Amino acid sequence: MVPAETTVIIVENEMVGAQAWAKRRNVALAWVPERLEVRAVFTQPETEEPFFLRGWFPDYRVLPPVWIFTDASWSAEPGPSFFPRPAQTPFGGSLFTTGNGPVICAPFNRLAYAEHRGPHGDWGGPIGWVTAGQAGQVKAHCIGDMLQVILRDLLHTRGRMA
Amino acid sequence: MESQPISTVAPADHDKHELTLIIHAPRSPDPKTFTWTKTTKVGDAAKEAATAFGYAAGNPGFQTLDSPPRQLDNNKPLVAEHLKDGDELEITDTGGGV
Repeated sequence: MVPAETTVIIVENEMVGAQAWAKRRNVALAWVPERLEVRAVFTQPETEEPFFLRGWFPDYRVLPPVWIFTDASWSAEPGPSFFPRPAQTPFGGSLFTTGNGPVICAPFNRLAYAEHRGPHGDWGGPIGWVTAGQAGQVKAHCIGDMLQVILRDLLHTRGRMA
Repeated sequence: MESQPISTVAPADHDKHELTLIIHAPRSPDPKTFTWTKTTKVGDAAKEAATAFGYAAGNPGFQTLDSPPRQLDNNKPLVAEHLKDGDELEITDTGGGV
């Protein structure tokens, strides 16, 4: 749908802002263009444990990225032991939920959509990700903004889902 | 009669009616500087800043750059959040999980 070389250009353009954000937030952030992957390491304040966030970007920006928490080798399928245990935030419900498995439940995650085994069949499919969701629900349309709101909610979590 | 010297000392922060803040956005490598009246609501200032950074949708708010960051209350005036000139803030969406 989107040639990989086009995706690389788009992501690298957005990574300029994301890298500046990561420096301010003391987050290790990497872009692996040959795999179309963004990798970020977040630290949970309560436990000081690392959480390994991986974004996969084929067909971006026609489709949203595939965001998961994985293991330190960046290769494991998403499992509850890699996800932070959700907790209430000042913003409402957490982005981290379980349905057919743990998922970062936001319009900017392809895995949140029913077409990809996610909980949302009511968002019109991932192709409408930029306008999906209700007013008052989380919005993030660039990589830096996505990382910011995922970290925002992770800072309120405690421990792991399993 | 001797004239009184004109003071060249800048007014103390608490005497000023405006705040100048440095605003960062996760999508941009460069911050922008804004000056608002101290009674401007945090949410209104965040919307203005978000628009300047190109955000067209969402529920913008501000966080401090502390670790962990402090979330400012969109409904409070800037002065109630104990900010001072030159403080740096980050735009964040305040929408809830879904």
